[in-house]
Amino acid sequence: MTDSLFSGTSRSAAPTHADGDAEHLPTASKRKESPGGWAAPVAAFEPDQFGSAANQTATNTEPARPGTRTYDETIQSYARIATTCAAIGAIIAAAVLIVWAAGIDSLVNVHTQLWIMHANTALAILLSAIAVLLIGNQDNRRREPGFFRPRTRLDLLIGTLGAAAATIGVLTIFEYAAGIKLGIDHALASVGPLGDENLIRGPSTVSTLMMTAIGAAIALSAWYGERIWAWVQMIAASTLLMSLMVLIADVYDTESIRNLSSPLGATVTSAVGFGLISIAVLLVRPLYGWMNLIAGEGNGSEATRRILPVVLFGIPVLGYVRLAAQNSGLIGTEVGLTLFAGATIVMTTVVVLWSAARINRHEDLQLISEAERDRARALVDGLVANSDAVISVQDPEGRFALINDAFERRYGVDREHAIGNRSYDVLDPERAFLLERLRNDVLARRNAAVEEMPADEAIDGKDEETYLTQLFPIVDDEGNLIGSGSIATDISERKRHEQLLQRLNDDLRHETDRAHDAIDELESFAHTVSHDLRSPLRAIDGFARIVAEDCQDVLEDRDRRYLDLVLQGAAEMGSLIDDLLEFSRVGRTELNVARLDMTKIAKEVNDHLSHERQGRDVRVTVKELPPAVADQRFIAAVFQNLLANAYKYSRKREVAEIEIGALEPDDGAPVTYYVRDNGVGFDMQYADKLFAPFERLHRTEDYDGSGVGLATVQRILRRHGGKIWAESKVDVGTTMFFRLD
Amino acid sequence: MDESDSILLVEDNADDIELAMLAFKRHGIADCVNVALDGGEALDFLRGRGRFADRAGAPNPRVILLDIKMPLVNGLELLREIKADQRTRKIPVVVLTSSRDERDVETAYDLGVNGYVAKPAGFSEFVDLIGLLKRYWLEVNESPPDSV
Repeated sequence: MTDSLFSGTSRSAAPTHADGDAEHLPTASKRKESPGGWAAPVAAFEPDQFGSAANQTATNTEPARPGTRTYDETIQSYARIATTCAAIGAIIAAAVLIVWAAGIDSLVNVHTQLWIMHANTALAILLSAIAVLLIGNQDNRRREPGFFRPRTRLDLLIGTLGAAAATIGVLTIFEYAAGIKLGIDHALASVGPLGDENLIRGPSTVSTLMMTAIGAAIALSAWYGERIWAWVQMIAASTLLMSLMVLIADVYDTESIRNLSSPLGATVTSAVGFGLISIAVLLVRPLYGWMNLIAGEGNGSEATRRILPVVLFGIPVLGYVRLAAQNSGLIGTEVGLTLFAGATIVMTTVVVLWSAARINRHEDLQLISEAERDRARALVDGLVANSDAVISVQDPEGRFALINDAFERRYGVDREHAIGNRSYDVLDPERAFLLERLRNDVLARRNAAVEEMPADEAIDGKDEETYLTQLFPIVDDEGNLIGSGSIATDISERKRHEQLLQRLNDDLRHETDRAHDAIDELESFAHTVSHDLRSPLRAIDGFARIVAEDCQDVLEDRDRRYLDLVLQGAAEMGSLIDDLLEFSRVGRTELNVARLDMTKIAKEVNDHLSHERQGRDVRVTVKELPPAVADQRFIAAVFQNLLANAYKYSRKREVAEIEIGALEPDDGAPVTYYVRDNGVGFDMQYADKLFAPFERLHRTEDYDGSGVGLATVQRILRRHGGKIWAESKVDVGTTMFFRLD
Repeated sequence: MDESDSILLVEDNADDIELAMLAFKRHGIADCVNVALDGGEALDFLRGRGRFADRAGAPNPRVILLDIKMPLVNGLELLREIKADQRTRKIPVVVLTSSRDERDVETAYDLGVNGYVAKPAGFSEFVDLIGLLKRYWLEVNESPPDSV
């Protein structure tokens, strides 16, 4: 309910109770919004800077439930009744004129009484009826009151028609008063079957009064506008009363009245005609004047609508019954009067009580729905008030309509001071400027859903705190802009965390960079050292070998053995350096990734290890391996290492069995390759030492090696995003598994 | 033809020089080898200057065996000088080093080296390697016209 933000007393436009009675539906509606008026039409005439509301009053889009009528529809039905009445009146008058003018005797002779209407009367009724029809076709809007100032040509026409009808009446009176004939009737009608006498006698006094009064009323309404309508209706009501009196008199057969020459005498047809016109005038503007009391939305109006028909029609009916009973001699005058009084009391009491009951029920429902609304409003108010977010609502002109406690606190403003004032009067200039800029932005784009801005860019940011400000247009159900809302949330904490996180991230990146640098340096160092170790090693090996060869004959057996040990040590150191260099190379070299035929690589590597098979019974099985995406040289090194180990540790088996295979999971997980041997195996409790550089699980005397091979393999696989692990059992064998991701 | 200047060995490490000379001796070509102890000396030898002033105008060696790791002017810098000089750029240069560093290999080829050979750690393999080099560069390969 966006509109409730601006006006504490406004009500929901939608009817909320459910008794299904159309007439009663609107009682809880917007009556109180503007004094004596209707929210929608009034709003339509307010200067609207967006210019879109003016055309929307005709199509009120209140939700209409099946089987019910909205209040506006009820009002429209009044207008329809008015135009219908006027149309029937016009038809009657026109028919009378045509019949007399054309002298259609065949029609007149059948029901002579029905066609008795003086030509002046008929003309006045016709003119008035047309005028009322024109009023009914004007749009049903409330107009600015004017003073003898017709605003449109239509107004002018209506006024002229009314004035013409009144003039006919005045002229007729003049005829009577002056005792002369102006001959209006003769100009209009030929002499009919009733002869000159009827015509010459002229319309009755009552008819003359009625035509003058109703014509003047219509003229007034057009020339003086809304303000005069109370008087217009008063005149129309008087005319209606006169018509009713004539009709009642006719029904009651009261000779003194029925006599056309009597002051109250008039023909039934004239009375019906004037009655219809009077009703039309009363109903054509139901919202104006005191008709608002009857057509209005309030409970009083509802009661009036209930009681009035009973009074207007019930009492004459009772009177007729009484008269008929008296005339037939069933009862006397006193009894008749007593019964009439009693019946009137009962009838009015019943209808008043019934009406009261209905009204009470509606008021209960109204109170309940009001209580519901109050509760809903209290909840929304509580939400706004208790929120930590800084919330404000401005009307389209930029005046604050609502601010919450957080707003007061944050900007140090007082609610009393802020409400109804613009931001420049409330906030400091810079802040107001930013807020207004953002607001104008949002309003210009109108239907932009939510304007989100970091607060430091928008209103805030001067303080340590950071606010995230959302500004959005508020539109009503019909799409009219009725204001803008702003919700600013304190994100200082988040911002601080973000900054902290950013700083930590930077630190971490810095540390990582340094670690990388250190590792690079270390790698480079290891590489250089390994190289520089080669030279002295070559010297040791070279000179020892020369001594061994040149001095073969001179050397004692022991010396020769020592020299062999020197050579052996040099050889071991050489291969250790080679392994270290390889280990280092794995960390330093760029990966050159391609799709690899793993079966082919495994077979080629195995072929190169032919020297390992010499003099042994080794059965090597290479199963079909799924392809992989990896660096060919490194994968070859992996197979080389694993296969060499398999050969090495199965050396003491009579029949060594080595199997290279792969496990392919069904769920699309990466392929696991394996190299299995039936060698000596190892104790699984030392499995974690398997891949650490220089760690060995067997004595060098039994199985030579640097302890760098598996570390290198692990390094290769890690660089590929994969991993390696082992399963082994002492004296049964080992399976090395690896996976590339 | 005077074969004594067929090979120029550029090597700073005395042990390596001696081992290399032993290996050359085993293949009977120790007399064909001249040794420069650093890049500067090598350039002096090639240009007939300083210690090698008597070689001015002498023909170029048939192959230069070049170590990379040397003080002052290192092997790759020397290689750049040799290949930049009109008089020496045709001389085949073979890097003979213990470095298998890929960057060194790439740089050497960028500079126009004619061969890159890694020294094995074992002496007997080294002797075999020298035999291969001798056979190829002194017997198989056709040297540039202004060589020894």
